[in-house]
Amino acid sequence: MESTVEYPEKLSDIIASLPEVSGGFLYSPEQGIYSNQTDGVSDDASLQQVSVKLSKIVSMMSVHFHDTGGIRVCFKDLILCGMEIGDGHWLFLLHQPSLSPGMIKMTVQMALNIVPDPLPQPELSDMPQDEEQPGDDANFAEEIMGILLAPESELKEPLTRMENNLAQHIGPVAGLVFQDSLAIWAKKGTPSLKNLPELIEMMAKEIDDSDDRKEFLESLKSITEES
Amino acid sequence: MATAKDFSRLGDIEGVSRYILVRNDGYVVGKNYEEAVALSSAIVTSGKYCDSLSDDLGGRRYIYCCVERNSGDNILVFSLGRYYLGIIKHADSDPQQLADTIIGFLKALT
Repeated sequence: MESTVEYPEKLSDIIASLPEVSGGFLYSPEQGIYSNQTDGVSDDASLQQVSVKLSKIVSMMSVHFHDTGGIRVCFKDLILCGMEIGDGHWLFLLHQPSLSPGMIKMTVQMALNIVPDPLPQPELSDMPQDEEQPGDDANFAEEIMGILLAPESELKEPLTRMENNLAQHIGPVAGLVFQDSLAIWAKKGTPSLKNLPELIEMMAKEIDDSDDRKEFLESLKSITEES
Repeated sequence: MATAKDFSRLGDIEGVSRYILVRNDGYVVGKNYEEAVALSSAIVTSGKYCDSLSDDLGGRRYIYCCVERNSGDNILVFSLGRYYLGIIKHADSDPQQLADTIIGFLKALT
């Protein structure tokens, strides 16, 4: 493997050899950003934040999966990929989506004389498992939805209205938030018309924008007043 | 509107080995992975870190992040507002193609 003092020069070589790579930077916990060749995309302080976050992500994942390698973050028209190149040093590259991860890996390994890791044996946790059932919580949420939204349920009308109103403010995940909140609400006590304001409050907390939240609460005022 | 049950169809997508849908407080909303609870905090933290990259990189918003593994069973993380979706892909599936399929699936839920 190359000496760490040669890394900046090697980074320049990698950038020069791959036209789809627009820049790169080097980071280590001890030195911070010690080579910024991004052509002004970001300053060192920001790139340091990026490096810390991405190296932490890989570190966290490596607790669960013991064969983690690099990381890629995909933006609309740009990919940021990072890989540990030894002794805690990280190399990051900014490149176009058309460049394959395999090509990058090979180029970096050749430039830095890194011997590729052998393919690991599959971990027990990765082995195919017998048919799995959804968790108890998911089952409970579905069951409670079925009961509370049944045609004969007195809660059907207000709950449907709440779900629809929520969707207007938080979009596609509204159904999920609704189901989720309903399950938590039902677990807290007996679901009833009287307890609906509590559920409305729970859902309102899922709306980030204060004006939207206010509008949501306002739209369900009649339910709150009737309770 | 999408419910946890709709997300369970993620498991049927070719190239998806496992999926985990986690709320931002770590609560696992949907999964087909036995060790989802153990992985949930890593998924949430990864998603939150990636969300915050926008501040560090001139406002660019990330689409997904992919933690690579030597086995090829990479982990993809998508942000869905207050939820984070973790996908463990099959080793032989193309990550970019799979990501496009997942994005299409998520758009179809809207």
